[in-house]
Amino acid sequence: MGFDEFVAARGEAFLRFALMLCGDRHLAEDLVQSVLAKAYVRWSRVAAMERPEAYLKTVLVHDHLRWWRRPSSRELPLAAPADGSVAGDGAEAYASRDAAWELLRRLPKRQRAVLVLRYYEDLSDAEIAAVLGCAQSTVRSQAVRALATLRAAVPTLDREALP
Amino acid sequence: MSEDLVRDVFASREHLVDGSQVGLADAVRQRVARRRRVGWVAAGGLTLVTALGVTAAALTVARPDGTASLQAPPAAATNGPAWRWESSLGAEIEVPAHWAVNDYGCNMTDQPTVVRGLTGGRACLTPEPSTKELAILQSGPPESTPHDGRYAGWRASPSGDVYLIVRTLDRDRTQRILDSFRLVDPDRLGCPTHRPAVRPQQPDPGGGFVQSDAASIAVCSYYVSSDGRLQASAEVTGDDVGPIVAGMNAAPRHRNPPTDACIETRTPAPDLVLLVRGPRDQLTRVWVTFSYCTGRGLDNGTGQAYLTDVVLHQLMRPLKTTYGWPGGPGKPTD
Repeated sequence: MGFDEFVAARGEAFLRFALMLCGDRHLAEDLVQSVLAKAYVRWSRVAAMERPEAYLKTVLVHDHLRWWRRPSSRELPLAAPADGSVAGDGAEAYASRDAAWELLRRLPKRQRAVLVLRYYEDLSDAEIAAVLGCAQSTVRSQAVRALATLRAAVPTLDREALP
Repeated sequence: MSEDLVRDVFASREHLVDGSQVGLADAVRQRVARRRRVGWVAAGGLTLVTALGVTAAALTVARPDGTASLQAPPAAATNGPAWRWESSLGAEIEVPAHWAVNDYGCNMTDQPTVVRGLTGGRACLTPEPSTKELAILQSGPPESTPHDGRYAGWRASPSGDVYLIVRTLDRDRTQRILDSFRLVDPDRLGCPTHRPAVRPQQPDPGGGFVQSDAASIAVCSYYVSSDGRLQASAEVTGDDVGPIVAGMNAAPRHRNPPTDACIETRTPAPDLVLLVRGPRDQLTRVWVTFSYCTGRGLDNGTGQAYLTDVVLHQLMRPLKTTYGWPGGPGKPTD
């Protein structure tokens, strides 16, 4: 599969995965471009892999975990002005989801990565451990901590309140 | 919070990147080309120093040859990214890469444009075409929104006194531009939102007024800003850097003389701040002052230099904003 073909077919999936990891669309785009740029210069080797997508997602996770302010991302965001208020039915439910999304964004990067790999990518703990390069017990403990943090922060958040 | 809720929350945000893969391959190629260019700058500089066996000062003389080696980036680099960033007044937005800048107001065409740092030209009767697509970053809320079939919207940061107004022919495009609106300090090029009040403090660049092997220049404009906020920013790269650096390094090492074209009532402050970056990202800041009657010229913190109209034009051109220079540069004293 050629580079353009791969990007056309899987680019959006990569962007979504990166969005879940970063919690910010623009950072996600920057991260995906960075990872694909590395792959582009040696695409024949990447394309020859048995599972190039899995490999690139692993690279993406590792880059995200050690990411710091790079020259192409010099700006320092101060605030993302909120959208206008949602009127009508369902506004409260959307607000609940927004709150949960914000809580997930504030988790430590590694804990969030575990949640993304487990609940967004549906990987097993063994697969997550292989991606992160750690023990399965570490994956479990990170997941437990992350969920405990979320439950403690939003004890009143009602699953059934969501649309 | 249940595990199902975590799944739901992730799923509920997937739409945020819908359509973002358009232009992704080109953006990746652009990024690869940019990395190669920086590598070539460093390699070219090293080769020259090795071959000539001389000091960095001699590199200034050899600069034209080094610059020539930057020619011919990979063919793919000509494919620009699908979207680009623009900043003004402490806010940053993403607009389609092919959009013009400040094609608005007097004699505007029907071409799509971003409007930022526009200092004049609105007070005339050129009608805004109903097919025109635009994004305006301005101080103060929009006065009115034309109801002409375009997808229109606006975002506001009243505390920051910055407003984004968008009108396009495509709902998704309008939404994406509105969604990209965010407050930053500094912006993507490193330009501070507020005009610096303290002169640059940095080591002498050595040999020249700025480093002769500069790879890029970020131009931060505070020109005629009543509240000292960043009006516009742009980056000079590639072959356009050399003539500007050469012009500053060749300038007499004194300020421009005061002009008698006006009587100064203000304390001179920089109209532009330049962030001159070398191939290894080393930074030299330069103040450029020209709209005042006194205190005019270049200042790198360790000394002053004369500002020519040629260098000023080269710096203002990428900003695509109008400007005036009362009294002109004046005559150098040596």
